[in-house]
Amino acid sequence: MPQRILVVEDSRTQAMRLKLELQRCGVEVEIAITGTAGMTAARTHTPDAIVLDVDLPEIDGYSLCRKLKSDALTAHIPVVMLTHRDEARDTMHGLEAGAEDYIPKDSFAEQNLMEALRLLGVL
Amino acid sequence: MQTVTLSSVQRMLVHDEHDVISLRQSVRQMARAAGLGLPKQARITAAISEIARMLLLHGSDVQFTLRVSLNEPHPALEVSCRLPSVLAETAAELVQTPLLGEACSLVDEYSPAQIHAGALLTLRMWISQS
Repeated sequence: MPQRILVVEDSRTQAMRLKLELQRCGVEVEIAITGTAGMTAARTHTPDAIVLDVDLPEIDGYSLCRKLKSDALTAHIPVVMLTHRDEARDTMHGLEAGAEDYIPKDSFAEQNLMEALRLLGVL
Repeated sequence: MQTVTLSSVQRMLVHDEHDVISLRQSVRQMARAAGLGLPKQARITAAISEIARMLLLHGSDVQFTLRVSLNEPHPALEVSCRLPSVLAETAAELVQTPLLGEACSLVDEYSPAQIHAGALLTLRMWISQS
């Protein structure tokens, strides 16, 4: 059975790029474009991992990560945050929110995300 | 990446961004195993990650050593790395640079030491006050 990953990303372009990249690894991908939709999808489908953008409408990625990690249905799901913010304190806030890792959105973001998911045993 | 584990000591040579990801996972795991709470796990992991990424920008392979130190008065998770001299004239100057300074400010204690051809930077996060 293929792994299932939920991508919570408000940029449809970015979301589709991630989806294609993850599908190449044989993963099933679901996309949510708001934090609220992401929370609902996570609780409904309990994916094997969640890739979470920090800057989301309605509820930001840090808050959503904290909600996911405090919900018994979703607390066990590894979360990797993906963001334009890449100062040390941003990384710290992401990890403090409970994320397993925090990947900057630079030109290597997709490869680095795959590596993080691989190390977490998701890929 | 070369990884050597000697009881509670782990050595990791970092030479690309994938190694930084792996380093973050190792620091996090060791911090968790040492009993640090989530905020302290996050702070030391972020600090080490930032230092590793900054050093990669300077084209340096860097060896990190992770260990749990039980020395009093503050048992700690201790991470040290050798910094090349190209970054600063002295170890003391090194930790005054904005990026390193911010990273160092996230941990409970840091100590730069002058060594041949560079500096040895050690960051410590105390275990007892998680």
